[in-house]
Amino acid sequence: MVSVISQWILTLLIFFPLLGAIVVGLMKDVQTARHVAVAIAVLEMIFSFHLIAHFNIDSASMQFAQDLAWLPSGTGIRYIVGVDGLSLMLVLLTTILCPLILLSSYSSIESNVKSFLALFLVLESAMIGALVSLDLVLFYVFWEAMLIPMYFIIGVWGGKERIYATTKFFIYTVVGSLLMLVAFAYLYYLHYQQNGVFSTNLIELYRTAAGLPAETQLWLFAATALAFAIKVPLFPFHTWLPDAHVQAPTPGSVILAGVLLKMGTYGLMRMSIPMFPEAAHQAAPVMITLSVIGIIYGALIAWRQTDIKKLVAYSSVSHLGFVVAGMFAFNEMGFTGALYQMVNHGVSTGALFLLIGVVYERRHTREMSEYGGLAKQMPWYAFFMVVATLGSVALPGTGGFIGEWLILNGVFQVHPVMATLAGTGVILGAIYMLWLVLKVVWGPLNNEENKKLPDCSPRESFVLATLSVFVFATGFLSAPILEHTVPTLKKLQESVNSKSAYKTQLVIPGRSNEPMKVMMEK
Amino acid sequence: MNYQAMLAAVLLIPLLGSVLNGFFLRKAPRLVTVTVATLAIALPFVLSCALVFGPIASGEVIRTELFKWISVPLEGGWLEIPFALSLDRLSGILLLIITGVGSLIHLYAGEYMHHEEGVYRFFAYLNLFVFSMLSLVLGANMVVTFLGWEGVGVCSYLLIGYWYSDEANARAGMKAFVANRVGDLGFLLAMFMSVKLFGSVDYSAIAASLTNELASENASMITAIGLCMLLGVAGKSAQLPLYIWLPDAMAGPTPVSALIHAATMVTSGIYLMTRMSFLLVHSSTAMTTIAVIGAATALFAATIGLVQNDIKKVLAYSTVSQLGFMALGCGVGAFQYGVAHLMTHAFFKALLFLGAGSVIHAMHHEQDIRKMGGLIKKMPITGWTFVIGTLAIIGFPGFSGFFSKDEILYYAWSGTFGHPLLWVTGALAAACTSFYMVRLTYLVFFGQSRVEHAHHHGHGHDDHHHSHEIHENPWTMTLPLVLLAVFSIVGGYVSIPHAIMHVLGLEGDNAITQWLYPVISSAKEVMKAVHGDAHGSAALEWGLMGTSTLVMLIMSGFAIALYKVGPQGGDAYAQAAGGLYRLILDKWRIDELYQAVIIEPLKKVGDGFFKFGDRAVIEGVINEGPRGIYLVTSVLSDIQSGLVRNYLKLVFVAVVALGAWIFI
Repeated sequence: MVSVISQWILTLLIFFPLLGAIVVGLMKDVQTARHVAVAIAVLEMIFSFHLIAHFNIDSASMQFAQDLAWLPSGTGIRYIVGVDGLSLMLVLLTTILCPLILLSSYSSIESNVKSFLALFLVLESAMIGALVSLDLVLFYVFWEAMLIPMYFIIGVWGGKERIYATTKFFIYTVVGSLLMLVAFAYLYYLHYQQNGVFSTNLIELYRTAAGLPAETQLWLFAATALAFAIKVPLFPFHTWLPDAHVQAPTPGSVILAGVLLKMGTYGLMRMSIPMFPEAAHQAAPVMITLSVIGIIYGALIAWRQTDIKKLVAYSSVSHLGFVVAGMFAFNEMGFTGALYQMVNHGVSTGALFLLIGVVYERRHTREMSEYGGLAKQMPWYAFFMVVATLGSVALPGTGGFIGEWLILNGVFQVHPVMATLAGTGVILGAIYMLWLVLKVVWGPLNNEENKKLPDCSPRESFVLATLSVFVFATGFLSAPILEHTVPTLKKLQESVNSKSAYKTQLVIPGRSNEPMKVMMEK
Repeated sequence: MNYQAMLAAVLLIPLLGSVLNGFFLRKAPRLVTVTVATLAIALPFVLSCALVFGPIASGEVIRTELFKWISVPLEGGWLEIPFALSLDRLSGILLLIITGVGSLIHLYAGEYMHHEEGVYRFFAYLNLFVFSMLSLVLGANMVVTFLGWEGVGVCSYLLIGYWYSDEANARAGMKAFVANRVGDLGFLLAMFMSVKLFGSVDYSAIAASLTNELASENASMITAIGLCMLLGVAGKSAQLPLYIWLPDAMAGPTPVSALIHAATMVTSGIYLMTRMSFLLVHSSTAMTTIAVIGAATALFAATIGLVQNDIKKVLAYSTVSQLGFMALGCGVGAFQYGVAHLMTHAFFKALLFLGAGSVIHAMHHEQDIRKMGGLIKKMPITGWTFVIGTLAIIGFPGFSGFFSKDEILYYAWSGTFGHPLLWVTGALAAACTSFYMVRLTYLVFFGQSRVEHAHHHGHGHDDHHHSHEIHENPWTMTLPLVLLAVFSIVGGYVSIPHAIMHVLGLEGDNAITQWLYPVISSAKEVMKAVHGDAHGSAALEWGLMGTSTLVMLIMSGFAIALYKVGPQGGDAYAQAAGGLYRLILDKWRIDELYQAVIIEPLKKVGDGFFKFGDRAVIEGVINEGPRGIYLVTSVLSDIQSGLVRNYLKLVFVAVVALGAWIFI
């Protein structure tokens, strides 16, 4: 029984929210639809816990794998899914964030509720799909599928300039995606040239790609890395992000910061780096430099914003700079820190956007000067705000610290100067975040309109308290959490540094020579 | 209960207290809140005494691992960082100070804060602070220490800004955190270098792998570690150039100033340097820099203290100055006296701050010493204990500061990295100390009363007071004063100078040197091997001791003579000094300098990045780029075509071009 569940779990995780979207779309009563959507997301989360319960932490293989025919076999395009330590973390981040976001949408989304819920669930399906796909075409389908619901979420439920913002978001992403598609197509063709058969199987293509001449690798790396860098977003491709964040409704901002940005960093770690190790080495100085510029550039701009949401949006540019810098250090500390920081950024920045949403719903302004002294009127709000801030500034005891420490440490081992420059981001991060807290939470409660604001409702408190627990849980339980990622990242590091193909295999539950949950290598 | 469990309990009980008060006792009566908070520190104090006077005194080191924290593969091994605690003789001293002085201050604060609303928040922060401070000193590796290091920073931030409704307080908290963060970057880099060099951040593992050969092969890296660590020390222990946050930190409630900004947190840097002494001594550059920074800080801050009129500001600059003395002690290689002074300073400066708080409390939040005077008649316990504190800090013979400060000054001249000029700087700072402390004490407690009785300004804190008559505070506030006064006298006898010991017929080293021997012996060996024996002598020691005592007496007498007539006594000198006086009164305008040279330019850069970088350049290229292509390829188009179509055209052209280039 367990092995049947394990066999189908990923497929279930991909398609269950999609089914849910249809159900929600067909419902009559709006309030019931909200409850059902949350229930579906909660169920999805519980399903995803099967992955933790049965994940073999000693293996770097693609677990819970499934390899099914989909398109005509001559095309070589198959339905292949699986998770390893890298995708496991992000799948869980997604399934845990989604119910919380849906809960927060009770008050932030008031028009066309059913369409919103359906689109959001479609988005969840697409995100999970992109994270577990091991076939390039399948991946690409999900990758593009993420774009559509997000386009509508910003465009329909967004702020005043939502059309401009969502168009910009769409075009930036599409430009990148098309470049990626060209690169994939070329790789597909090369694989045929070398082997006489077509294949879009990522695990096979790792071998093909790593064997290519350096120059070809570099072009293909550039095309894919650009696509992912736009999504991250890496300086100087970040200008779509502040607009998208500011205009998006609260749930949109949270899912954007929480998961969608990580698709970029995930793509770099899953595709660009292991596929083209030679090119990755050549590009590393450039990537790290851009990341470090982004860290400082984003932080300084964040500091000077008066729009709270813009401030947090630019802080993402800075934080994601850390993630990219970490992975291009090509050591385990860097990779581990980068992966961990993806999760932590999702939690703390997600919490910050939710917090902005809480006051925005009450006051309909994002101007910092409209607030001040909220601690007096909204003590729990102030508490959650301070916790999210501590997470964001990577205070020891929060997950952000573990991530940032590992990243900076990893980068330091190979590029001490770059790490030191990136380290100034730690100082600047404290400046802009504490500035935000100072202006919103502390100070005198002068504005008449703020004197009657109610504190967080039980629903809001529940969502924020859950995230607050995660902020600290990730800070102390880092060893048991990161245990799951060690074999995968070790293998990634070894293959990148030996500039050889990334070798992994599918472990199909119940049908494999590698039993689940058994020690294999150590 | 075994020792490991006791040690864990010492750390975790304050955390429990914080959680109880912060989440579960929000509506509890004040007495419950205060009792819980005080017990959460007093209980660990009892356990600490049992540990320190038991196994630690007999030479054991207690180590316990609470859980696995970070564990990543390194090249050729693993980087394992457990959440591990280690109690040895150095952390033992700190442990007793933190929990002992901490208990007294909690007791005191219960009364001091009694008219505050929602006092649970204050005590939750205060307990959390103690938890952080304990992790700092008990951490068996740098990362656990760093958890405490930044944790105390956050608690300090929250407590300085405790009265957050006044934005100035919240700003002072933020300034403290940011200045500390600058130092923290130094600490972080020191950790990264340790990982690079030793593959570990565990103190004992580093000590074990640091051989003389390794040190000489990696001399520049050792120096870099030392200097980065010094940056961290400068942030936390308020040394030049990062001291600027400490005076502003006085915005917090006075018990906070006593506990955090005098007795414990600000001395973390001294602790860290002593903990890492085995490494620091390998680099003369690092040691000398520490000594110079320490001496410079001691003198610089003391000059500012000369002219301040706010009772807490004088004490704040005095703290910066005294921390400079401790750093000087460490820098010249006399780590044990840095620690001894840390301890005596914890007693007498906590006493002075609590005394100041007692005055401020009785005077309904008046802090200007020009409006005080003659208070010793109305508040005898506060007054006389304050006098004891003053005698201790100025180094009056027989009081604790005399012993610890004198040893530091002696080694500033004769220590391994000592130099007569360091002694001169230190002695000048000590001269200033005598002047400003006696000035302060005299203006507050002696002479004519200058208290304005009419004042009834609308300060919210005043409302509950039935009488405006100034009177002594209840026992919960005076008992801590008396106990601290006792320790301010006797605390110094752990570091009796060798010359005096010789006269008394005592053999061997003084108590502090013996006690800390296991911690600093390897540093001493290195210093001895590289630089030979220290070049001091009994005659020199007597000479220096006599000189500084004489200077102390002269400066104290001068201060009394000057201020006998009241605060205007110094006016003639102030006028004679003119611009210099105003410069010192304005604290050498260092804040303004930083504002103009660092903060404002950075703000401009940020604005520039946003308006020029993001808006003009990047957006420009992306929005105008397509227009260029559009002009070149203006095949199908109307000039009106919007942004979207331009973009799509760019996409189209780019994809076709790239595809063609790759495939053909």
